Amino acid sequence: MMMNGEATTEADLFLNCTDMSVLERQRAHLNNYNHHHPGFFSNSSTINCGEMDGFLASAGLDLPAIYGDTTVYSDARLSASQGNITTESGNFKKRKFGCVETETKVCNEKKKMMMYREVVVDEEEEEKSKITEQSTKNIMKMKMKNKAKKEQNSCSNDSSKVTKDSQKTDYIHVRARRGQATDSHSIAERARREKISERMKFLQDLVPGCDKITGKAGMLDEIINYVQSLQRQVEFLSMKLATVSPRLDFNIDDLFTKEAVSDPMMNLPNTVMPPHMMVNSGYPHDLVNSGYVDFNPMQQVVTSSDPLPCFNNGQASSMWDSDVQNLYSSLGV
Amino acid sequence: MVDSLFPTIDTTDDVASPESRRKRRRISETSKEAAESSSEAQRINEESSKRWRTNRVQQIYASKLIEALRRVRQRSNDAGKITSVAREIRDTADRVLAASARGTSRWSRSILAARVRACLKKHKKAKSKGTRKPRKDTAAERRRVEKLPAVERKLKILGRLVPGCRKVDVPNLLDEASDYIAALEMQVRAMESLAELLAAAAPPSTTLTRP
Repeated sequence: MMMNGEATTEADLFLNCTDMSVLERQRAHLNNYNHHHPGFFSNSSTINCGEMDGFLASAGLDLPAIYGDTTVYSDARLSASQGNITTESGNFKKRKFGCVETETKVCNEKKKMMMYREVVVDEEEEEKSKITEQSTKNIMKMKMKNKAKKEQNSCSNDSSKVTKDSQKTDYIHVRARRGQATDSHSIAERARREKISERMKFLQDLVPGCDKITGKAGMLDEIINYVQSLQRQVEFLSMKLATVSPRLDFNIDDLFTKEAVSDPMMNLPNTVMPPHMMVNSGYPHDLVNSGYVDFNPMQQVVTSSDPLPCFNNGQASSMWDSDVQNLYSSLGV
Repeated sequence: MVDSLFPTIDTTDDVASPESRRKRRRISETSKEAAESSSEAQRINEESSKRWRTNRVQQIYASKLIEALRRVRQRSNDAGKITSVAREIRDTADRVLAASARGTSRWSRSILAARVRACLKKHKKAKSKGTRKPRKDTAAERRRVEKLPAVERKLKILGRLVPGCRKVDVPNLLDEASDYIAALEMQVRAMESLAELLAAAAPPSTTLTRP
């Protein structure tokens, strides 16, 4: 099961988690339940409870030590947050006593713990050095990006929404980023924006003259201009080729021979080949690599080429049509 | 012959390119399953742009282009005005470019599919779907369109420029655009060198007298 698999890794990382107040409160709460309501847990999912304890145990955490002592963690912030626990634990307990009477709530608790553990996992994977409040932002972000844990995402989304509301009433709350909302929506929004900006950066490298420009609108302008100019260039070159190409029929093979003679160094394997076979040799190589069906008709066309390449019109057009049909089928449309 | 079309390109890419292309496909597949980190997406983008710069791709494109152009000449039979021939040549070049893309990008599939659809329509003699319903040019509509934020307007324009990308969402549109730009650059380079070669091969005096 997912949770068990993650326990060991989470455990180690859990120790390094910066802001322990929420987790500690949760653990405190669970332990309260353990101590004060043993029957409750036994009635509801003992499996859950067992797993939770299993997590905490495998985490190497000494449960009583967490909310009792400050010596377990050397992080200064923890000790500060310890105070929070003691002051809020009263309200905490009150709320929990009232609400947690259903199995589902326990599940949510557990999943919240899971969420935070994952959060820690992701954080540690990404930035081990930055143990600040800032890092929790990344935690939430990385977590939302993590598609492998979708179901937990959905549950944690609900929990984060719930907990955000409960922030004002001293309920368990998600660690808020500095000056940013913790909505699941805004986090997803942020991830989406990052994706877009990263692609824009790549386009910036691709399009010349985009380095100076900042802002999406200006860059998009440049990109549009560049694409239009490239397309215009293609049109112009095709017109140029149209004027030049009446000679295409006659001269191409001559050109081939000329180039072959003057340029013996070729990049194709088995380079010792007559010119009209030169193009042919390129194809099988690619066929082997890609299995592209389209190459076959073209290959036939090339092999039939002679120093005087005059195809029949019918042959050419039928070749092209068969080519197109092959393409059609190969595309699987 | 085809090598001379791209003399300046580094030839060391040639050996690595088939493997890199296979690797790229595998990488793109795995990336879809796993969580996509920023570095990985960038690597894919870089590989897609490098794909269009490898010698192998350029050789393939050049040779296919030559063959296709030859067939165009045959089929057009030295017909009519240069502009129509030019259009045919451009369409052919675009199709060859799309074929070189091997169906990995949306714009290439759209170009090829458009041609296939035209062929089928010719066979079936069906009514052409080219006529799109023109958007009502009312003032309200125009106001609504202009009210869209500037970035969105430009994204729409970009979607119209890249073939087959009108209704694509923004990140994919940007991906397609970058691939399209890289491919277009290669196409321009190939056609330039081809035109240069052909023009240099023989004096162009005879062509100027054509009607």
